[in-house]
Amino acid sequence: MLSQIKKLLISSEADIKSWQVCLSLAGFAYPLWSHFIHWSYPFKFTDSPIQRWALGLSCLLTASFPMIIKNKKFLKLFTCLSFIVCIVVSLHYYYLTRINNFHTLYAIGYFLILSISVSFFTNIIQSIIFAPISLFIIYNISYKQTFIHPFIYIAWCLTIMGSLYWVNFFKQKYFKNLLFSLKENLKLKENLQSSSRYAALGEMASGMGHEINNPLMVINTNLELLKINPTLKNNKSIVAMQKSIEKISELTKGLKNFQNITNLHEQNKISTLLILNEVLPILNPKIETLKCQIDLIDKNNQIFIANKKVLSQIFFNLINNSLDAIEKSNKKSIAIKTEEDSSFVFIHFTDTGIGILKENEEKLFTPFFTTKSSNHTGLGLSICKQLALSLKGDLYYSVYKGLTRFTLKIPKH
Amino acid sequence: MELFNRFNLIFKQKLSIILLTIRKNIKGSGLMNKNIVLVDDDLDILESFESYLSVFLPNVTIKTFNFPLEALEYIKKNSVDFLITDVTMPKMTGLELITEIRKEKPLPAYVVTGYFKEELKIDPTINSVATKFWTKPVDLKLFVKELTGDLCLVK
Repeated sequence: MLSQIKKLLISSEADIKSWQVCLSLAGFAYPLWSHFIHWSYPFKFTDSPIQRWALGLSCLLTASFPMIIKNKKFLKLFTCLSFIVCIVVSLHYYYLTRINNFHTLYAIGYFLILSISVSFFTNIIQSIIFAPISLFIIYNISYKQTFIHPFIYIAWCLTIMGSLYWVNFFKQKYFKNLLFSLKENLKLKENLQSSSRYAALGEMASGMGHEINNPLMVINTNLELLKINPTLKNNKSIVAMQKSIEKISELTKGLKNFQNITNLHEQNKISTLLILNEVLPILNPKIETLKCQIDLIDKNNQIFIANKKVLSQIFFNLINNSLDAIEKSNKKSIAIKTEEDSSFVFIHFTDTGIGILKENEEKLFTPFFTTKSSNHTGLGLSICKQLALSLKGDLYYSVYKGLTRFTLKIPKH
Repeated sequence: MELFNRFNLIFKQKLSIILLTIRKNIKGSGLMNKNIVLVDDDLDILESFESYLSVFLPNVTIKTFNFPLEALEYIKKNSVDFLITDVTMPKMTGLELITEIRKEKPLPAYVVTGYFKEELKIDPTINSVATKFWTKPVDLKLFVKELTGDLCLVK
């Protein structure tokens, strides 16, 4: 269950919604349950109905607040607050049971309600196991304590079993999509990242192939020449061969940074200049053929902490995209500008390319959407977005002075 | 492995004999005074390729160009028999160069690319006159053999 709660607390919007459903269910069930207990046991309790409903309402409010407030800082605060309320509620019950000498019956009831609401998101089997065990405990305690009318006992059984049935029924009917999205979201995210890596690899391979084959050609022809005239000390051809070998080794050095991103939590001290120094040599052939001008505007040489591999992949994709966009326009330049906030670093990629149609703006970051030819997979930007989100940053599109601009937002620490 | 090495040696010897016969044939055949134009943006490739071809095709004049636009001007003004070009070059790709030339005259050409894609073959204007696609690094012996054959066909 702890792991379940941990999963629910991961800051994704869909997860938070499911967790809110849990809490609101508990908020309703708690006062109702206590009313039922009051009705079935003619004891005098210290808590009044107003007190019960106040606690239930507090649960409901903590669940509904994050739906209204979309600021992420407040959201986190409220998730913490609502969990504290949950704990307080259970402690309150424990206190009540101690005062009334009513053993753990109350606490068990509350635990049962929580377990049902949690079983919403696990499976039916767990909730079915829960019910008989809790019934058994309740029966034993109550049998020793007081006499229960058999009618009440049957009603009890029926309500618990029935509630389980209805929970499953509603779960399948109304929450199927929610559950599906919850489980599939995680899978999709992983799949997207891996497939996007392949897509980036494919595009890189075409460029790489050209860049490696050229020097190989030089080596090959020079070797053949030396084969024909082995006695002749042909210095020129040897120098040419050495040069081309150096070219290849430089390329492979650049490739190192595009290994699989296995460790997302790795942190490096980096600046935009540092990443550009790694990315640009790989894109250099494309830049040279287009005769494109790339400007970096980074006044303070802002240093921030983030994952180097992830950032260089994002940079590669974004610059590659703007190079594609520039191809047919007259003025060819890309400007990379860094700005800073109290907590974020903004890196703007502005290009003089053909721009993006208004109808396509919404679909920009959806996977497999592309306006380019068939050999492009349309994964580049969606990957970038995913990667940026994994760094707890963001990537968005805007129009700046009539030019297309993509902004990468990264937290400083 | 020994057997394989032996076969390999015999194969190489035979190849060299074939090459020698080709070289002999060249001297007496109609390859005299043919003009070839080489276009590539990489200077090292141009130099080495030219020197290699000049060994095997001694009677053929080879003109090299670093920029495709210069080559286009030269080909328009002078009579050229054959074109060997790279694909990715600044300002103009090799395929664009060929289509541009073929608007005026049918010139046989070889396309040497670093990274071959099937899509290159689809272009109808390029396929109309004998063209062959070679991927770098080129099998030079085969290249020379085919080139001599195609050069002989040019009138």
